[in-house]
Amino acid sequence: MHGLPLTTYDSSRAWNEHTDDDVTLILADRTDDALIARLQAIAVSRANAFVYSWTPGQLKTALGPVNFEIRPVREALVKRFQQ
Amino acid sequence: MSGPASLHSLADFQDEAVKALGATISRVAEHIDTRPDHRREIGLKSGTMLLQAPTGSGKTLMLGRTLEGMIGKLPMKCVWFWFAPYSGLVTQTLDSLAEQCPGIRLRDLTADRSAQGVRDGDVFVQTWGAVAANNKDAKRVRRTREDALSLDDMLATLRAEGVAIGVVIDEAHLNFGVSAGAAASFYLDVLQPDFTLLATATPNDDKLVAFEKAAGVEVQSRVVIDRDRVVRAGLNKWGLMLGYLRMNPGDEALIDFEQATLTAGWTQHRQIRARLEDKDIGVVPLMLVQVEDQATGGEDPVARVKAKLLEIQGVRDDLIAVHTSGQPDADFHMMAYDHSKQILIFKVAVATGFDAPRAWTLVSVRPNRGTGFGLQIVGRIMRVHPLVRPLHGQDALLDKGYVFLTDPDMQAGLSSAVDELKAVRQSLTVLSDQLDVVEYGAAPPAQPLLLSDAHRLAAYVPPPPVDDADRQSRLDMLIDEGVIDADVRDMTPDVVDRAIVAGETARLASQTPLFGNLPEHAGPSAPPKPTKQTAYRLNRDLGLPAALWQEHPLDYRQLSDPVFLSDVADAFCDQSALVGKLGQTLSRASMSLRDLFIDGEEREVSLNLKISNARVAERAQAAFQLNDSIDPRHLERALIAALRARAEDGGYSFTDQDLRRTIQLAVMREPDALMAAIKVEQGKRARLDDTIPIPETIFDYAELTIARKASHGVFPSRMNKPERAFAEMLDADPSGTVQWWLRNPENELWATRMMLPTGARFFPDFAVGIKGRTSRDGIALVEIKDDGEDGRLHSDKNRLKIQVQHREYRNVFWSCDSERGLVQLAFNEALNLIQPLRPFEISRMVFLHN
Repeated sequence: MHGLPLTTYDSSRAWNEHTDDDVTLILADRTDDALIARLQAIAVSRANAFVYSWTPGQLKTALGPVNFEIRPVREALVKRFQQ
Repeated sequence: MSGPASLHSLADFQDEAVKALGATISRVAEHIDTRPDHRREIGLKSGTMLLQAPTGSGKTLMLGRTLEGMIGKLPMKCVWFWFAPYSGLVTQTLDSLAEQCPGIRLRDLTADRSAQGVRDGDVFVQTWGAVAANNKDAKRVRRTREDALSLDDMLATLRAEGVAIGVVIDEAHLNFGVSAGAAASFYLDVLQPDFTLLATATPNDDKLVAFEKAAGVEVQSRVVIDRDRVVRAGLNKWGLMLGYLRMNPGDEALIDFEQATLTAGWTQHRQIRARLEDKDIGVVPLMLVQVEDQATGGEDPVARVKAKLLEIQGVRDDLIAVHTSGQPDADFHMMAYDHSKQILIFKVAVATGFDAPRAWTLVSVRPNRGTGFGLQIVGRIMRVHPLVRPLHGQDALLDKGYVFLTDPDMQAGLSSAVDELKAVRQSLTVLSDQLDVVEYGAAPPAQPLLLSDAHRLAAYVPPPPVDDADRQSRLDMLIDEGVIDADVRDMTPDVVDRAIVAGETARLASQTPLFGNLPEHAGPSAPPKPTKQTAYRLNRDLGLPAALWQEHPLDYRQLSDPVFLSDVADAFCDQSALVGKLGQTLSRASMSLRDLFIDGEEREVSLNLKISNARVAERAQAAFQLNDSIDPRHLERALIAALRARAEDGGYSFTDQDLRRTIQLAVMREPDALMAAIKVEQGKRARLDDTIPIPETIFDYAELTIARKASHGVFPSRMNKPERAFAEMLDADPSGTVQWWLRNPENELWATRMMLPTGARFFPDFAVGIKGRTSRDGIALVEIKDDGEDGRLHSDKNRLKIQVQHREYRNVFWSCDSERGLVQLAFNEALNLIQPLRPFEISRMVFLHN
């Protein structure tokens, strides 16, 4: 989807992150304070970031308007494999 | 360029625009689906949308993501035809869509016009000229051959098969420039689109208005993006500086102003390059140099300017790229991205849409730039390079674009040259609210500025030569540098001395960082000038409360709390009596059979159909996601657990599969019941407060109409026509029922709001103080709607909104204008529709029910 190499997924963590020079990807299985703090930092740095969350509304409520995308995991996956 | 580019995450304003456009397309598609006989009319009257967004705001990205987001979402497939104004932009658009919208399948009209195997979201990108003009290419595309349909036949086939046709007109103001008539006729007669997305950077676009009239379309839906939001998102530079060289009258005959201006541009460019190196940002800046077209038999302006550039210290031949075409073609784009080049000389007069994010500096030596110069040329240097974005608003030098103009006639104060300068200055106002104009050089202080709002930077004036040796040495150097012409050698000593002083002054002015002495005031500390700056005070005498009560959403801990999810599941299972549905595997259906031999003989048979587990599971996944703050996986688990407890208590036999399937079927069939369960449990936990006061002062346009009962004494500007009419009715209430009214602005921190079961917030349009109403502070809330004609009123969101009550202010009065005047609306549960209830009467606002 983003043309990036696969990142090892640590299922014990509430969220996993992949960052390189061009993009930051976060897959959030659960919301926690650390995730919100990390996303606030990303918003300040204007990084090109995509967050995939099962509960995007929780993050939008906590963060307010931000200049990166918070996408629902399920819809993004369905869309990707449509057609 | 290295490797494939990453997807760009949408900024908040882009995301909003994509959602707004997508919502309109969905609504129109549903409308067409239910009234296919009115397809043409709906497409023309409701299907046209306008995206008006500043240059550099990512219009192509927003449009592309809108199209990509529609895939699989509409009741029919949709094929899109995307029109770019030039062939060069076709290539750029194709590259951009391929890179940023991978879900879209790009097709080529010249090679592939098959209607078979069409996919939802197929996109064809071309110019109008490629299809609508009277030329060879267009004729080929419009002719059916043995191996390929004509475009016209392909469109007819697609339409007949129920495939929707969408049109995107990018840079709409240019698209309709030359061949508006042919384009409009092709658009109406051949394309016959169901949806049209127009994109423009130009407010008040005359050409667009002309096209609307010619094609008979009505732009019903507009998404307008403020430049301020683009700047704050880090996509556009904060400010712009315009510099022009001005010397003593008569100096124009002695020194080369073009050379001096190119030097000034290069000096600025070097300063930017050094700053980027200091900050360790791997971007090589680009200086754009715009030259005039070559006159027939005249000198080549590109060669002239290149020769002058090569005379400047530090400029090498290999740093210069030259684009000779008068059109902004693909080469122009490639050159802008070639990091081995630092200067790009070009002739194009219009380059709208072209992307050169590493350009900070523009030198224009082209006369007659015209009123479009700002948007079409200077707009290229307003974008912010992605690698600089983290520093956006923090470095005054990098936060601005720099434009240098030269025109010898300006020195003579010729009115045409001054008018040109004023036109350029005016054209830049569409690009930035922060424009600084600098007149630099050696004009005497007594000489008035060419532009009244310019700053004057006077250079140090060197002394005249002391003797002949000094004269010769200084003259040689200036001629060698190209600052003054070799002919000066033959002039009288006093003229030579004057030329030397003028030349050295010009050189000094050009080599001094031009804007270095100005106060640096870019960035967040200096937001763009407000246009609404008249203060209106709160009228406390009307009896308004200090603050309005607000419902707040649950935080993530509350929403993830297993007790909350379990309570939602219990409420849903109890309401839907689910236990009795365990084990159901068949669904009732009926089928009509027509006898082919007996005319008119038809009968209906009942069937019991086996329901596929896989199909149920697939559909149910979406149904669990009705609130994007609740994890659908956890919600499903809680529902299954609740059903399991009930089944065990009731002594039912079941398998895990039965439980899962029963829950999945139930949420698909009864989404409103699940929504109601969430609403109840959310309501029990939602926090309410009145801690943010109504502002003492609001800022709006000057001289607004006075309103006696308005919170701040005037009718605020941010109201649409029905809202304004309603406000006037409240203000004129002679009965004394209305004590005050307040426009409740969406998303303002202090505004009252309710929580919807989807997790979204609902800000009713008005809060009204009503005499005799027993809700908190006697407040009634009012929501004003346009009308129900085009289906927008009956959207899912509105049906949810009309069913919620404010916990303090209670029922919300919904109203819309109709032929019979203002009517009150209510929700009809049996029909699941919002319907007119009765004429709207202020006297009924005392009641806590509708």
